[in-house]
Amino acid sequence: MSPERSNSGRASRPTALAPQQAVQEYLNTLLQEATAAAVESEVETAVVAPVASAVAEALPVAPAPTATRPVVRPVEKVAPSAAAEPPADGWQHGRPAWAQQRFECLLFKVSGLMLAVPLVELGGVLKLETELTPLFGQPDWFMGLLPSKGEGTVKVIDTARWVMPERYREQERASLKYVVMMESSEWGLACHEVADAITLEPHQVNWRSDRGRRPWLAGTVIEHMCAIMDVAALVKLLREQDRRARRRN
Amino acid sequence: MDIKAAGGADDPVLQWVTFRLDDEVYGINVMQVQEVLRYSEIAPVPGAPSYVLGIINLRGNVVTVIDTRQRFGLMPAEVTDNSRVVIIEVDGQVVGILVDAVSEVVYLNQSEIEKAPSVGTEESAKFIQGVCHKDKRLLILVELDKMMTDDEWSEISML
Repeated sequence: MSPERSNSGRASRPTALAPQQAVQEYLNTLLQEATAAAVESEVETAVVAPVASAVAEALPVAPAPTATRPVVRPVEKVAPSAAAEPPADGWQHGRPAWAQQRFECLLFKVSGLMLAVPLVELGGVLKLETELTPLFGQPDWFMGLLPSKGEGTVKVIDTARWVMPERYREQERASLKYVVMMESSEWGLACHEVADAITLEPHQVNWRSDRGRRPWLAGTVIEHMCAIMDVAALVKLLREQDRRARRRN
Repeated sequence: MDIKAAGGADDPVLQWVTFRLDDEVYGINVMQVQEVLRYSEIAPVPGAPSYVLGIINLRGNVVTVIDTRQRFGLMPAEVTDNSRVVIIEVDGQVVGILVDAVSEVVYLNQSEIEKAPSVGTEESAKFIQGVCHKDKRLLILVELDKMMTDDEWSEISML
């Protein structure tokens, strides 16, 4: 079998990776990114603290002819790692508000990748028994509308396209069976399987510190080989996009 | 046509003419619909924009027919016996839109109409006014005014 370029563009990979292997590689990438970002953040904090102390010591000799009191400020106010107020996204101590102590998640599978949604952010699970109503002019990750007696009209997202577009396979769309509803929203994530509910301790999760690149990702769990979704961030992203589009129109 | 105010002033009942394109059902405000015609020969207009199928003669008046599929970003399809030209009036301008079939007039309460997502960046996403459950299916409500820009409406008027 001659080697061909994979989605990542590396020419030396074998052509047909088993799906599970491909998914594990992707999860490993997420874990490595999360770990690398966490390590970088720790290094920056370690470097900044001594510098901040040096600056604080140097302040009393700054020219201030009329000053009668020293200008030294407490180190805590200079160090960037100390946050006086909770961040806007609700994350505290490097993890979401719902993960400050033990929490429960629902596991679900999308194209072989195991994802998890915290139960507090889960709206419900619907079966994809009826055909979705497509809408023209929508992005390719928007699958269509699913009418539901209990939930109203649900906007269904092609989760694989959103989460791992570089590994997306169109043929897997036909076998999507469930929609995992995101709490307090009209959006749902299409998936192939719904698995168990599990209980996790905060320390079991590699929490994302680099929140810019994949805002939907809260962290990864090595024991369960799964990625935990930050549902609030994803819903916020979708609603912002919605608002911007409505303003344009 | 009388519009029933059964829902009250706070929740008016609106009438929508429904039509089909592919497997989806769309609705347009009945107040904008003048009549529905069987498909007849449409004379192409050289140099007309791509969304214009051509013109028809409606009782001595020239009416431009719009390619609704093209406007909605759908693939072209063959004309069938069920195809219809819906004559609509938008801001004083009368045009026809070609559809696969015309269904029925439905009555919807304002409260039954849900907002559709606006995450699409395509121009065509702009004229989806909302969606509504009706008879176990979703109806996509279309705002005809936004089907074309002011420049496009002007362009049509000069054909």
